[in-house]
Amino acid sequence: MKKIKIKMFGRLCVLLTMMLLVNCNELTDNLSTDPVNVTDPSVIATSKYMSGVEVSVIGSYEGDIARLAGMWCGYFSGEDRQYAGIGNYVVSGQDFNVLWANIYTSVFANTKLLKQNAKRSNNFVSEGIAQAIEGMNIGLAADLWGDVPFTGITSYPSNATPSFDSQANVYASAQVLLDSAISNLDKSGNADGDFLMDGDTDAWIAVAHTIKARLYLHTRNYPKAIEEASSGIGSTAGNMMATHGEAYLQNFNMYYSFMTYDRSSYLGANSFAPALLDNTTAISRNNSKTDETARLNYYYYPGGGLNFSEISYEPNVQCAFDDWDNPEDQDGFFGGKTSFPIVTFEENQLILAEAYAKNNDVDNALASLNLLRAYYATGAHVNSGYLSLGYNYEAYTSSDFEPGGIENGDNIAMDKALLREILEERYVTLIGQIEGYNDMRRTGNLLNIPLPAGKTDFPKRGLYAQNEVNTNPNVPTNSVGLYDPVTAFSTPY
Amino acid sequence: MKKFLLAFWLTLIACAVFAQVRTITGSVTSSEDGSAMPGVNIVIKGTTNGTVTGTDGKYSVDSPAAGATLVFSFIGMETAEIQIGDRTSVNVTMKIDVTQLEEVVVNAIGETRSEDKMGVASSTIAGNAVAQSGEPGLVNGLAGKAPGMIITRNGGDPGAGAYIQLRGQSTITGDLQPLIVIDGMPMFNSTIMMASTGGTQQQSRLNDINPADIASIEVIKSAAGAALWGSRAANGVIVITTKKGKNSHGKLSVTYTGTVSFDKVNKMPKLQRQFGQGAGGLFSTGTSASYGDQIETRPGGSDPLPAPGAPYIVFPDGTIRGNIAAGTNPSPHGGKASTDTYDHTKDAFQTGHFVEHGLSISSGGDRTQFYASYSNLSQEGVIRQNSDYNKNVARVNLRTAITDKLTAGVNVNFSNVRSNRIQQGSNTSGLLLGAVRTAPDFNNEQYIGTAIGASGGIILNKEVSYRNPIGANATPGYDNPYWTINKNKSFSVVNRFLGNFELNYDPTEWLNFKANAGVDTYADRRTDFTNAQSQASLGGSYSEQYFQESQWNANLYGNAKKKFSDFFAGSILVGFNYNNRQFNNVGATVTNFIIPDAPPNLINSPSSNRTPFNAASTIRTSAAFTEINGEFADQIFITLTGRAESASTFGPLAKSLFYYPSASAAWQFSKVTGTNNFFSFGKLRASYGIVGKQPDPYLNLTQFVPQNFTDSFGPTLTGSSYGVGGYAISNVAGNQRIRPEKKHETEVGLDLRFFEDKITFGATAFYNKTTDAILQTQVAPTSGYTNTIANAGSIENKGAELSLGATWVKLKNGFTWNTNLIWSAYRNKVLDLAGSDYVILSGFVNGSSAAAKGKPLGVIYGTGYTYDAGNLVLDANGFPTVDPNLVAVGNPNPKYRASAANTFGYKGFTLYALFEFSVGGQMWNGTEGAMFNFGTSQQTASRTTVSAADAANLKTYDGKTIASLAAAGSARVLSNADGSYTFRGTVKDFGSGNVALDEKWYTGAGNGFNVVSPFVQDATWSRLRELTLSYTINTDGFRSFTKLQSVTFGVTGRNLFLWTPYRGIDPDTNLTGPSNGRGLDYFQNPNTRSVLAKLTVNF
Repeated sequence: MKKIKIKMFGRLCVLLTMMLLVNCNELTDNLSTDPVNVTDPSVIATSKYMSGVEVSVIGSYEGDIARLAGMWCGYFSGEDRQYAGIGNYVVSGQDFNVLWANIYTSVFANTKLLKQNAKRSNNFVSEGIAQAIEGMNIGLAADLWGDVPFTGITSYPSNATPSFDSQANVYASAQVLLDSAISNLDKSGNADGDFLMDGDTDAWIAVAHTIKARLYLHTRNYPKAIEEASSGIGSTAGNMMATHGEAYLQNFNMYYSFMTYDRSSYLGANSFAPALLDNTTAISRNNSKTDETARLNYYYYPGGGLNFSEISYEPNVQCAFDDWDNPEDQDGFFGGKTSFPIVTFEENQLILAEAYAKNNDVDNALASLNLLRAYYATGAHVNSGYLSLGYNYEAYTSSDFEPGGIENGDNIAMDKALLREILEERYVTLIGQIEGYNDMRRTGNLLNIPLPAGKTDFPKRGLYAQNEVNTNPNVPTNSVGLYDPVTAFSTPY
Repeated sequence: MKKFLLAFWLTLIACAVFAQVRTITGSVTSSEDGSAMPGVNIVIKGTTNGTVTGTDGKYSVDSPAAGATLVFSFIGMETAEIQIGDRTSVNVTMKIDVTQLEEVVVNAIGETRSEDKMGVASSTIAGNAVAQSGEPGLVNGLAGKAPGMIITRNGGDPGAGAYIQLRGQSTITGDLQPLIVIDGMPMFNSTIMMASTGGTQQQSRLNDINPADIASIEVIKSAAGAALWGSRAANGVIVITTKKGKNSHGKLSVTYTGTVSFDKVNKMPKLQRQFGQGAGGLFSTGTSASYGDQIETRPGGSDPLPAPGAPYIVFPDGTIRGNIAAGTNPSPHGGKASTDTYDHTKDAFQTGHFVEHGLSISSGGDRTQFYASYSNLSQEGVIRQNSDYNKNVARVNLRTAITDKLTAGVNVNFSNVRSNRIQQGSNTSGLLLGAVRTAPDFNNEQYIGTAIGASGGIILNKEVSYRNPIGANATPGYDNPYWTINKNKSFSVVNRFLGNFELNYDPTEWLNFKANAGVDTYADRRTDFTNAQSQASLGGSYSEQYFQESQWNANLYGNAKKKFSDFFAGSILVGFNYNNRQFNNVGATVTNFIIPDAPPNLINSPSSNRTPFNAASTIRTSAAFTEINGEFADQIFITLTGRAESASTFGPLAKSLFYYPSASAAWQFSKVTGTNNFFSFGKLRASYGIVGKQPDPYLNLTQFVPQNFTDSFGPTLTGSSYGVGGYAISNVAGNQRIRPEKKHETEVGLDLRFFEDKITFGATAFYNKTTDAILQTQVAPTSGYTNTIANAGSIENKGAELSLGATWVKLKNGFTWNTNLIWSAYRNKVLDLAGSDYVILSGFVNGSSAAAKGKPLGVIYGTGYTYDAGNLVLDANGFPTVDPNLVAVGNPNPKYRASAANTFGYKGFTLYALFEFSVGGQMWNGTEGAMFNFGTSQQTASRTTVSAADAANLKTYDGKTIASLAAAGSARVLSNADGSYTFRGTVKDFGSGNVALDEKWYTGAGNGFNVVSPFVQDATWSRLRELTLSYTINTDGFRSFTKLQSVTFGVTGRNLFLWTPYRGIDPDTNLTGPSNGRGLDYFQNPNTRSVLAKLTVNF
């Protein structure tokens, strides 16, 4: 009996010791790879980055900063909760975190990978598109924040705190990127994954020229702006539009999603832009050659009732796929599947007009404006359901801008009156876009867009993103308050 | 056994020899379960005569004379002295001696140890203390029962889980919940998907077991005590031991318990009923705010019917509502006539109830014992519809001796939990959000109707809400609470199997081997259905998903002990632990129903609106561990433990093995000082230990993900909907060197007992520091990532815990009075956040709970007013300005927690009262902050009258004066006959003279959406957590008449009284559940108080 016991005990001891000696690692090895998520970049094709980066581009131009900018330049009014504050310029660096991170991580971190992939297969076209997108986005960053990092970005961990480049240098770098894009887009390769321009390299080249023109306009280099815009988007067929669909949290128009699903009643339009379009108001821009009623109703819903019971105007979110009393062709500009403009023929035409005007070439300025009005006169700029409400865009003549003309009731110099109309046309053409707010800043609010009650000045820049402030000691701290203009817009227009 | 039999026969012989006048007979049973107690010593007081009970608990003893007293004693039970009188039959029920029961405790892996020899603090909670608490779930029943343990309910919804915190928080962003070990086997205590600010209150998987099955719970807070679990023990360990069958010599013991409970909401924010819907003092239908007209001055009667041709709505009862003309300054009421108001805190709420039936049977012989139980709990919550909890739990614990030295045991638990939940929190379809934002003059009960348009168009079954009163708008704004509870459904069903197998082999007296292997696996099927008209998901949404967690665990260990001399005895335990955890989630969400009123179906949506998802992870841990005990001179006790561990979650470039040592020592100095009637026991103890926290799986890797863009307010674009499907590198950088967090803790303590152990006192002080805390730290977005994962943080806690137990009174007539007091406090500080100023733990961008360097974990973060050198910076009108910078504005950690339990016993009656206190600590009343904006908080309803002189200078936030507003005829100000003015609001001086806080202030810089700090409120509370009165009948007459062992009737109140200065719901909740973010209140469903009646029958 005792012997058996000792034997059993011995065996157990051996067993136990063996178990203890099993290298713990062997049991736990080979389990550190995620079974569900992609962690190996080599399986991702260039085209997938391309589609991803283009989603981020939409985010840059249509996301929350577009609404914020719109509230600050009279497109919208902040009616409720946080938007009541933002509308009154109550903002912090937090409010700019999303766009800042979108530009640097969602766009630049991925265009970097995209370009590496594209280079390996001599895909110059994709590289060119990536460069065009980089140029657009870094230009947007310079517009909003002035000095921003460009050299040395997206190099974590080797450079965790990039330094800030001057706004002028960033604009210059953006032009270099766009030049390089234009050159690469003419070479070999494919544009797989590009949905913004459906892989049309000629259209991309035109877009790159228009973006270059936009940035030259911002840096007040009018001859270059004219030169680039002349090669820019030549018709609305070449517009870069963010397409949308019918799925919430997937492809809704972001304004629509915000106003109808996410934060109803935050955003109204008790503001300047609709009143300017409305022929019943004292400040109406309608005249004997111009009827903006269709455009007003396409962009804005007069009298409220979508989200507000008592309000002068609301951004028009009507949308045919709602089954709420809404006939076809009544989708508003902010409807769920309405495409959103990122850069357009309309803008290109107005860059030309403004640059000519600033270059004292009144004839070409007027011709450029009239070309756009001729397009509006076709009624193609709004959904056809609105046309019956009335639209008219007869060509202007120079006499219209002479003192006493229909566009010069206050008897200013003819060229100033023309410039003012061009800027006003830009203002209503760019409704909902950040570029409208850029205009307000760079022209020193030439249009006298009214400010919220009690305000004597309007925000001149975006605040640096709180996340960057928290982590990067290189963030400038001097003259970067909300009312300090960015360098390029700091001198009189 | 032999000794026992010998004693038995000797006693019988003795009895025969001294046979005298008469024979007393009877039986002895246990108060715990009514079972017969064999082996109880019975002595006739003042003599050496006596006997022991037989296997059936029966005895027979000869008494020398009338008037004698019998003394019944048994280890672990209170000694009973019974005067015989002239009876010949005496039956006795023996009660558990609580002070003695606590002497044996279990360590972290479930091995029993003598508490008096332990060098670490340990708190034992008797199983029946949890079962008697009246909480339907285990975790909430632990509240107030152990020092240093904080239990905070997610909320009052049926089945809602809770947050468990042992001592201070010892990790910054990792899971804070302790490891739960049941019968030696770790079990999941997951609360999945509760950290968000919306959604439903989720369950805790700890509640899947039946509280009645629990024999005892050991709360191991110290690092040294928990170190045997290494990297899973940073938050402490709670060791649960379930009830096992006893050797009853074949006698079957059956217990039935029936409970019925009635529950009500215990606290709600106060709403105003004086002012109607509207703004600027004017009534306006459909407006989101209630800054409208004064309701009492309305004409009264019914509201006008719609004009012919105007749109209106017809309710199911046939009543009609049309648009009501808005007020104007000369006529603030507009068309509104009715003065009816409604208490929206009662919308959708009712008296909830639950019924529970529990049945347990146990029996055993020499070789095999078993315990089996079944319980069913069926609960209807305090929310009227679709809020319920139904739990079935069955357990079998079986133990059998295969040979004299080899014992095998199996413990098996099966649970089925079904529950319907209601949406809460920051969610336009959330219940309370919709309810308490509603204007007081709007009746929410009419939530659906037929909307008739101006052109005669008809929409059937249209939702009606206060912002869409006649259904004319496309969307409801916020869902009507009645709509929410009737139309939106969230269901969960959990099936869970938890079981383990134990082998125990004792080859010799000094050596013992154990194998304990088991599995815990459950599947949680959840569905969330949102009606197509509901605001949170217009067009409808339906999601269906499964969560599955499985855990295999094996512990193999040997334990040798030897007494070498009277001076030295020792033991050594060496073991191996293997643990494998798997997580799976699969499901799909669809939106925009094709057929809005179809049953929930994933194909009822356009294919572009279907989002399938899945997730999976495996975590494997293997470790060797040891525990060495030394006893010196029977007064100094030393325990050393060590664990070497490897886990699959460690980064490939990190070390592969981590060590978790601990040492503890206890010195029973009373062995030196000696004991007397006053001082009966004294022990000093000290310990040091290191425990860890494993990284979450796959933190070593940088992921590539579908590229989505989500802006700050929700609008989202999904890469898969665009182009060829956009992919991108994640903006969170993985870390190949990720390693476990390490917590070092030093603890010292003192245990004293006085007056023959009638008074017990324990004191413990601790200091711990966690280094290498895993953080998703911010990095400069311009560097290419927004965050990285790093072992970057550090956090410390220091604290003290006191406990005092006293048996004040123990009278001959059976009256007893016991008190247990516990007190604990901790101070917590985040030492390092790797350069970040703060990290948001949960909540909103403005109004969050965050980790901030130099501050306690969980500080409330948000905007406050601008200060300059301690003075408010005021605007031109004398009002504070909002500082856009986010700063710490409050601390949710209490200064101290305490509880006081008193038990009074008299004959069959027991009265138990547990008071619990949480002193200090703050909560963000985001609910009130939002209600300021909407003008529904009672705080916004004061009216102030000022003289004409004051009114001329008294400015409002929009820069007007009260007098100028009156002059302009604004309805915001009422001109009185005596020349004075009355306005809605109050007067306050912020530093440059009085200003008027009226609507413009409440919706401006005084509005909770703009500013957080004014809504951070003291969350101190005191409550009568538990009050139980019970009566047990087990008299002889009753027993012989009913053939039952005993019957107990009990009535319990939970949360009967709550005292708190906090103005919102019961502050003992948290919006984001058991997340690391604490102290958030934003429209979560409220807490409850309950009254229960309970009947227990022992057969």
